[in-house]
Amino acid sequence: MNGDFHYYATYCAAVIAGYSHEEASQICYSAQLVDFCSKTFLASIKGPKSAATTQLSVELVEQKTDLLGLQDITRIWASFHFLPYDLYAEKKHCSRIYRNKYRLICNSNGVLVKDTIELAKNKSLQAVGIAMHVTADTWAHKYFAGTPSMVINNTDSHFYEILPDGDSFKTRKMKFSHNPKAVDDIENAVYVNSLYQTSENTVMNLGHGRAGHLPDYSFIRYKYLPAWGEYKEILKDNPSDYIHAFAQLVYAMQYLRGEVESFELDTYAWDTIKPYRSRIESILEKRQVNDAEDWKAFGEELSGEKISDFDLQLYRDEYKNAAKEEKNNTFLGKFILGALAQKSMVTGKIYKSGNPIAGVSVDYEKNGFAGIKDYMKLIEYSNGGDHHE
Amino acid sequence: MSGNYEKALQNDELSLKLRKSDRNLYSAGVGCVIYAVWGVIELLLDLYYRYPKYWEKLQKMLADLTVGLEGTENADTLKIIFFGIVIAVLVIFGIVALLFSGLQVYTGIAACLQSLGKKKRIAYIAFAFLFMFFEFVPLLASVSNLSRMFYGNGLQELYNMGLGDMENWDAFLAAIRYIFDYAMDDIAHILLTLTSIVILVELVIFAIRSKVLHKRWQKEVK
Repeated sequence: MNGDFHYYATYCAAVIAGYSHEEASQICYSAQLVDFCSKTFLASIKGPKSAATTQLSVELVEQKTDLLGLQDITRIWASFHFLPYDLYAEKKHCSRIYRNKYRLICNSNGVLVKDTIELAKNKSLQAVGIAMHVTADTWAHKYFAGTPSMVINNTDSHFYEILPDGDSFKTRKMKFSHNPKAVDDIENAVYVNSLYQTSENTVMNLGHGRAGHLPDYSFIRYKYLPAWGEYKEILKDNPSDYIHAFAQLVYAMQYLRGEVESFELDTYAWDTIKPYRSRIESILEKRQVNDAEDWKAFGEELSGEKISDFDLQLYRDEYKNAAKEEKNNTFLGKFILGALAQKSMVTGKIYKSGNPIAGVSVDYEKNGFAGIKDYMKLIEYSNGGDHHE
Repeated sequence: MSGNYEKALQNDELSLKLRKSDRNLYSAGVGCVIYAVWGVIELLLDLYYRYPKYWEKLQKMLADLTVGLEGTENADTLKIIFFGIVIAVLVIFGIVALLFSGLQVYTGIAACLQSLGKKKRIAYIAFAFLFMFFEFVPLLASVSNLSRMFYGNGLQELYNMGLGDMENWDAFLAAIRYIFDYAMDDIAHILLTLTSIVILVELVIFAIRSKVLHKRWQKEVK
């Protein structure tokens, strides 16, 4: 998903769920920060690089795709943007390597979504924001995996947009260009995607690069052939997926606020969003690549407050200038803890399922501390902790 | 927002078979084009690296033809005619090789176009059959050449060279190098030719299957 949903739509969902303007602002800022908290950013604030929640294009270009490099990539993308749906999925007549990658395919309402939401319970608003980003992306980034893999993430030219036509629909062929500076032409159905690469582990085959920005456009419906699909067409109905995502975010935040006893999968706050549903649907169905203005206007109507635009530099100085023992109490400090916790949880689950693709995960309670020292912060934090505001 | 867009999906068995067939046909078509280009490169490399050997043979042939005529006008005339014939043969050979490669490229491209649902032709399938048979000739020649080393006196000669003598390491290595030098060309040629044959067989199978499935699909749609 793009910033319009991660920032403004998450703000709207937070307000509808009952958060105040200030709380919703922190949540939506954290949700959007997941798309910017790279190693470069963390290095600039002298933060722990293991807390990276994304990788910039320049970082990916330089990223090695040897065994350790692939594990590093997978840890980030599978934990925050392509949460695996079923780590124990069965797939017959295939190699173990293929099955390991197949099991990382993202989809909504997987067990890890529940784990992600429950992990944020009684934690900071920043942790809530991270959980909202991860949950929202399980809807947009369905059917792709957060690891470089041609055999999973590749597509071909078989892309057809499905357009409503009265009571029925019509389809039209979509075309792709590989010029990274070109702009998507939604009127003529010409979109930009990454170049076809025969190498299995190239970063060009990471996530939904081969489908371009299509998964991030809320208005579009299309069908295509994913590499793992055995020649079956897959439908991607973004308006439906996005409204489900929104309703699930509201429900999740109601749970995190304590209004709902437990978080269940495949459950949505339809009743809560009912008064706003037509407004939300009109934003989602509007044929435009960026819905930020519409979501912002809606959010300001909901809360009656002005929503500041996302500013990556907003909390930098607070973190940089804080004393070492106070860093965890700053905004970015709390975000970093939330990111480490999320990455640790997902990586651990992947490893426990017998899948080495995200690297080795150490069980602290059984074996004590080992591995990347950045995660020592989590141990220290777990002993003290910050309560849900 | 509601709408049953699942109806837009075509995942019946026939559609799946058709897609699989078309994609395999496309891959085979691309393989055919690559092999056509490789054929030209192989020919040029062969001429370039074996040029001294061929020149030596031609010189020997010319010497045999002009025995007893050295220094005479007839010898000069004979040389001109000889090299004229050689050049003509080379030109004809070159044209035939280019035509052959061109037809292979046409076959590959026609297969790709059919798989994409564009132009539908039949001639390329016949060409693919022809190429398959043509590939067997050099394949059998390479196999025969390779087997000569290990049959009859060939194996004995290798043992004499030192293949069976594990105590004389230098002789053993020399024998291994001899096998390598002798067999490498043929082994490489056999592997490439077999691959080419497999690609052509796949092309023919998927081309026919694709046409049959398309006809069946059109009947069902009507």
